[in-house]
Amino acid sequence: MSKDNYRLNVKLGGGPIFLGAGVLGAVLCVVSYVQNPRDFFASYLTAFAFFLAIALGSFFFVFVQHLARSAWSVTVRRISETVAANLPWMALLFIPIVVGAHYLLPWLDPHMRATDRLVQMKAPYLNQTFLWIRAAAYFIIWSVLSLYFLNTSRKQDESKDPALTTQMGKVAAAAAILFTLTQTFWAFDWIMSLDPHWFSTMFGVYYFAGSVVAQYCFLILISAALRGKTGRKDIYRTDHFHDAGKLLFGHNVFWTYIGFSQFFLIWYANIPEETLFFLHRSAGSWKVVSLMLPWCHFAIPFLYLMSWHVKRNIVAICIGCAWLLTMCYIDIFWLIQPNFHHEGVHFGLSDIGSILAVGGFFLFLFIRRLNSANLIPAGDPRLPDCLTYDNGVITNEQH
Amino acid sequence: MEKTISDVKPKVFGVLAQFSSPKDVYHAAEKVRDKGYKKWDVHSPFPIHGIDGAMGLGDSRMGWIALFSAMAGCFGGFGLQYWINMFAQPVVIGGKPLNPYPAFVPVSFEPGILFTAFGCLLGMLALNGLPRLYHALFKSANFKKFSDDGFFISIEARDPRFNLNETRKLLEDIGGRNIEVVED
Repeated sequence: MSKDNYRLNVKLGGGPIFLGAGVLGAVLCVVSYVQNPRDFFASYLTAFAFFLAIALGSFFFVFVQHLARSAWSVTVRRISETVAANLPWMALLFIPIVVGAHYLLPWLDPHMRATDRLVQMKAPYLNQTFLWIRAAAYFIIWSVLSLYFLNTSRKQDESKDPALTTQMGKVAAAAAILFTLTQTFWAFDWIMSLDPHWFSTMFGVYYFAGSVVAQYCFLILISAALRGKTGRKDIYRTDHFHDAGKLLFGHNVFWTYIGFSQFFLIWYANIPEETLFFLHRSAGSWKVVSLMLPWCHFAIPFLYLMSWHVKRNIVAICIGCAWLLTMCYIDIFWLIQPNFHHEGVHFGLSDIGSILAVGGFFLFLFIRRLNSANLIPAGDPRLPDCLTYDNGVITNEQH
Repeated sequence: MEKTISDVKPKVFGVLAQFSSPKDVYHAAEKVRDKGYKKWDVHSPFPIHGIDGAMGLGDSRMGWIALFSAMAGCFGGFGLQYWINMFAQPVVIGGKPLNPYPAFVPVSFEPGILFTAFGCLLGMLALNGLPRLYHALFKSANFKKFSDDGFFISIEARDPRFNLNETRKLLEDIGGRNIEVVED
């Protein structure tokens, strides 16, 4: 097989549509900001945290593949590298949140800082200077590392230098530590501290578990689109979908495990300052959303994704991924919005506008970058193993 | 006249053939599969990648056994706690309701895992016809190599397509050596 066989020149479409959606969303955001700035910022943070979860999950996927020296994932790794490289753009999309921080974080309010004993005790961590230093550190670390992995991998497309793979494996070890700390504290700063009295030590893991589920859904959907567009079933193999599906299934169970453990300990101990979190989320129509999570995020996908017949059927696995991706958004909506709407679920213009704005720009930038170079890491020394990879399931499928 | 044990005519168990490499036995298995045999087996000292496909084996039933064992364990564990707390010995603990179902989750989960492990082990043994103390193939001295460096195909007489001469010829044609008829 000639190496040039794998220089795919196919372009993924939809860029202008997503750009249009982004612009439309931005207009809706401005309209909803004028109507009610507090609602707007809450919605914007929800949409932002959701797309950030996809980017962070993809970043996690990239460095884990390097750490594990994995061969199976080489062709699809380029997708995740490109999604993760959206992290510098996420820093730009973070600006509205910086502007609206005073609407979002109640502990920034001088009155609360002066009167609230708990907030005063947490001041060594929850103070404005440290908050902005941390935020800057998160985005700098994410941007530098995600661009490093994409650019090094692209450089290897041309040079075919196996030393770059060794180098990326080493950087991945450092990236794992930095990623764990930064994404945990990001979740503490921008989701958990929306309610400064409440705390949970496993909150960072909860956000992480959801982000990995979201990333596998996104990866499978984009792989399916590329498989359809290129017609290259030898590159986007059925075995890839099967194994990504298995990992999706596993991480979704992990999300459930973390979510349940967090709930269970708080429910059993029944200490007021901890239970308030779940009290807000069982009020009014929030109870419906709270019950949706175990059933629609866990139970239904658990049974649906269990069979390998589903994981090896591209249409079926894509339906599962679209469903779970929606559930990941609802999960983050459930984390953030009850802090702003105690009375019940509030989904309006600001939410739609924020999803369109953040999502539109996110997908537009992703597609533009994906199309700007080779679609697979053609110079990766493990590519031949990936292209002949077979996970050993007996089928009568034609590859 | 009284029958003695030596008068009982030995029944044929099947035909055994040896192959020299995993590759040979793999391709031979494909040919036996294509002839439509069902009651036959490949013997090798180590697992051969893809041999299940070459033998035409279908999807294993183990998955279903595991699923139903897990469900039995899970619902059994939940039911046990529910029955105890609601009917057998209702005690209010920690101010929780009599049916504190979140507290039942860990104890429902654990028997689910335990029963799956039992189901998998016992199901595997049952599907393989184990444990057994005797197998007709052990009569063949040559067959001992199956755990060292020998690769074998055995076709059993209970297969509807089995015909001593034809089956023997088939194994010769596909490259089998040391072909022997094994008696039960």
